[in-house]
Amino acid sequence: MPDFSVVGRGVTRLDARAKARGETRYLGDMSLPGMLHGKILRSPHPHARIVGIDCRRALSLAGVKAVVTGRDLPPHKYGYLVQDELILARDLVRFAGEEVAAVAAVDEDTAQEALDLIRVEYEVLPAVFEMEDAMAEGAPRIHDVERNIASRVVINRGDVERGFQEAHLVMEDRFTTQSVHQGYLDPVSCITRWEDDGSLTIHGVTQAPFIQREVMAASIGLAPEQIRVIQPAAGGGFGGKLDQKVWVIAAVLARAAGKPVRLILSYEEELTAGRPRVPLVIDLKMGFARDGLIKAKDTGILADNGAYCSYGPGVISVASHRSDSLYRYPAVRCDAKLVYTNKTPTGAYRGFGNPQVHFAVESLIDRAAVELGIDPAEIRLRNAVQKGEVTIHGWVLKSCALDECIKQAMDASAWKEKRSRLGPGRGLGMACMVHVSSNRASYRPFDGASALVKLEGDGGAVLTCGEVDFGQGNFTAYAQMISEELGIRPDQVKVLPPDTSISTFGLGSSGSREIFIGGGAVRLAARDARRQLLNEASVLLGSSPDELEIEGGIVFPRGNREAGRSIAEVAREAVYRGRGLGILGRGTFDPGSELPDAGKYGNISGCYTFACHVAEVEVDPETGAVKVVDYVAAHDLGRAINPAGAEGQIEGGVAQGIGFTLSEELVSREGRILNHGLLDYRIPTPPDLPRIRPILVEEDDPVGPYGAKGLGEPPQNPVPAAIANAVYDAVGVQFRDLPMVPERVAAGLAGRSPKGRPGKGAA
Amino acid sequence: MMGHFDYLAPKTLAEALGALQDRGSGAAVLAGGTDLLVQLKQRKRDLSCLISVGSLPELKGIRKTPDGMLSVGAATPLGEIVSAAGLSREAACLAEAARKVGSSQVRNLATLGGNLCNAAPSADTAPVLLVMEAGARIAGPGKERVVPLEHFFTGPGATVLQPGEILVAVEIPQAPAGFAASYIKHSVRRAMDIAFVGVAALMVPGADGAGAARVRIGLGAVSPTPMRARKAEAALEGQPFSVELAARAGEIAATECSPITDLRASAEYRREMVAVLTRRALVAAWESAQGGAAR
Repeated sequence: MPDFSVVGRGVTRLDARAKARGETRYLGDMSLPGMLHGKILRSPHPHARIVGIDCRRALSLAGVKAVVTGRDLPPHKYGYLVQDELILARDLVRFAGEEVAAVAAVDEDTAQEALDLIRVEYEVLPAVFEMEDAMAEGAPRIHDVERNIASRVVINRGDVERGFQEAHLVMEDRFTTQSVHQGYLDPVSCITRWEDDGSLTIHGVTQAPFIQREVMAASIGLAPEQIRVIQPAAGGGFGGKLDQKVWVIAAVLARAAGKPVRLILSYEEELTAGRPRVPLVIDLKMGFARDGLIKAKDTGILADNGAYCSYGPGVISVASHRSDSLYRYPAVRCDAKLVYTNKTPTGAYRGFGNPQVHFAVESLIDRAAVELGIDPAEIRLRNAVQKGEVTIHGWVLKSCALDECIKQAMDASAWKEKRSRLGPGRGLGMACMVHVSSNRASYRPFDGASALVKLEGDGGAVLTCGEVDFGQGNFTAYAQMISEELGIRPDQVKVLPPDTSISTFGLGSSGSREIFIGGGAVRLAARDARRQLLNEASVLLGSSPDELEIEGGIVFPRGNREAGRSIAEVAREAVYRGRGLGILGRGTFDPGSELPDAGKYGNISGCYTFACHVAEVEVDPETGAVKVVDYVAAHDLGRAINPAGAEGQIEGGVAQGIGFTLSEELVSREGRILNHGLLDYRIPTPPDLPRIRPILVEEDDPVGPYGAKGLGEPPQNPVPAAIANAVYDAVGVQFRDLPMVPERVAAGLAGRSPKGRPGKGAA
Repeated sequence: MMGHFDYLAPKTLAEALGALQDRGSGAAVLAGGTDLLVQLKQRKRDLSCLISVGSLPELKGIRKTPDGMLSVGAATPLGEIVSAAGLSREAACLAEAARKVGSSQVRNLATLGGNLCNAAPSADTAPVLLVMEAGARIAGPGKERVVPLEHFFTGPGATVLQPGEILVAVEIPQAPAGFAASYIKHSVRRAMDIAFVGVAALMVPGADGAGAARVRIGLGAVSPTPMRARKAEAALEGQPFSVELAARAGEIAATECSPITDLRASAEYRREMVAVLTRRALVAAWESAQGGAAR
């Protein structure tokens, strides 16, 4: 691997100091002159007709500046993939928590008081909460679709029936996953202001400013360019900030009030009416040859959409086939249905359907390995895809270090010494994963990124682009790339958060694309700036550009540093000579991915990432408590731009995965979320986490910048299966329903069906 | 968001009692605020006046009285109690339970009195105080009284405190020589969580060393109030100690409690855990007492 001076070295994040000192200004710290505070009135019923809304008392409350209901708005629809929502409900509410009216007032207390004064008359309608019920004949129809099926993906490749006939072992089981919230500290929020020219300015955190404004624009009758999105510092997103209808509500409130409006969701609202993970019921059947090679796979998926689609159709598309490029599958079939229910709409969360399906597949493979008498690591090595291969769905693996991930995870976890050899109640489990780093199908016209790098008169650089750092640290990696190309320090680079009126177009932070795609554009912009810098310097120094070198902020003729000029000087000169334009590097990067065909065949991403995790657990056989005592996570990430940042990504993803596996669950009864606070919605705390040991497996990707691939989503994907497999090793029972909370595990160990899930508990 | 209320910060207990009397039913006593302020923000309570007792000298600090009693001011933060574990063996037992409340940030604010007056059935400090047979010193208009902690709780969120009364201190009598106690909290998370079940056990080895002369078992989160499991205690007292006997006592304790099914756990699971954790708490206390005797 080529060596770089800044890329590949652990550097302090650009935002670390301010965050550690509590000085970062998030949206909740911001205000505009004359700003009002918005609050949303939500439906208490999971399904009801709105008979009437009386806002008179709320409007007459002192300090209330606007009250808006669905009937005050044009009937534009809202939605990312399917336009099935209104900004505020007009005639029907379809989940408990749906937005019915909104208030803008001089302060939050007044706005809250006004909500209490709005009288809504509902006629309660029959509701459905279970997917099977929703698809039954005669079930209440939530939207105008047959059997409440919002979307369906069918995959059929290879001869699945023959595969099963030829198989030595066929395993079959049902796995279920629950709904979990993205758990960011910074709730969905914004400040909206209408400008004199009729355009709209929004300050707020979104993972995709340009996409968000397109969706918003359609729902309020503006052109996208009339909306300016300016991003403040962000406290997390993880997929949850790809869909913010709240912004539209704040915009209509601001228009009605004639004043800027700030709207910040409470955590109760986040947990009851956010866009949590899509829960899946996965019926999985796999056939294996005697030597462990996979012969065929057949999957049936039911996905609980909740009342509106959000990203549901995209999630089931991923769930239907993404995991198939992990192994050499000769034949796969999948029928995935997305089902409307009268529950909180579900959406995008780190992994986008992939963690759920990996849980099922990687669990069943472990059981097959045990049945066949093959070490679970060995069965994975035998089936693992390799660099240079084209997978069953046409994915071209220009780089792939899956084997190496498995081997390194085995070494680090002492797999051979410990697997099935630990004392009672202790076990070791493994799981692998595959993921994309961009997705041509998510925004068809473009799967790339662009960036501008401006050199400053002080020798520093400013980067603008449409990409987003919601906390991952990719902006620091961008600074490293610019530093690498221009020979300046990373802390001399200022990375501006996106502003849609200034930044070049970008798709933002989704699909694990920010290092691979965003970074690709940043590197090319920096190289363009370097080229311009050398050209300018060559005029000043009287030598040709290719005789010049840059080091430590000085441009000089090779071998004669004393004769050099500082980058600052050259950049200043360039401003004057360039009539103000100075040095402005432009970069655009497209990874060459393909739009898959209707059957989901095609090289959807510019590269693919792989990982192998090994969890070691301790199971208390009496209480059912599962404690993860050690955790190894080996990731094929091409190359780490900032190894410290990469390790942080892995640790964070594993921590979230442990929450998903062991403690987090949005529990609802009759469509109402019961645990709407962070006491009973249990995100793990530091004492709940083991030592997490990241391993960076670096084999350069030929397409990615400096060989780098994405690492955003991958670390969460294998966690549930790694832990479930470790529990299986520890106690001989495989748990197929998440989360594995103590009560469920205790019941499974006692050979009983866990509470509330008759007949599908422990294996 | 909270409604508007008056905030009073009296300088003495007498002043506080006067203010509480004056303000009547719209007033509440504020200590650390980790429960009360959350309830106000969630609009579960509507109060016109908060009377802060957090800095009243009469309610602060941990001290040993000449008769060997440990007196813990009601407004003493749990964090301070954790730090005072070295003061006596009784203090160490209370510290072990206090350490399991919330997080260090919460413990820096939350007080012992608050944990008890909030009267959650799951209050972590309650089972251990029950087994140490602590008393609640309560001040009211013109008089003070001491109520055994076992009679302090009257239901979920309810205590014997009458309007106008303030919990001043918790008084822990000197435990018999050679005693040892333990507290086991069972929850999903290891911090920032509410117990499914909490079990405290206290044992005093008998003269022959084979069994316990005195046994006390305290249970949390499995009945409307924290409770003693007296039948289980009786099954052990005077008997040669064994793990089997402890398990038997656990089974008895499981029949004594009356858990409910809620969001956190089912009644059946809670009952099973009472059996398991009572056994474990007894064994831990017994082993600790043996270790103590050997020292």
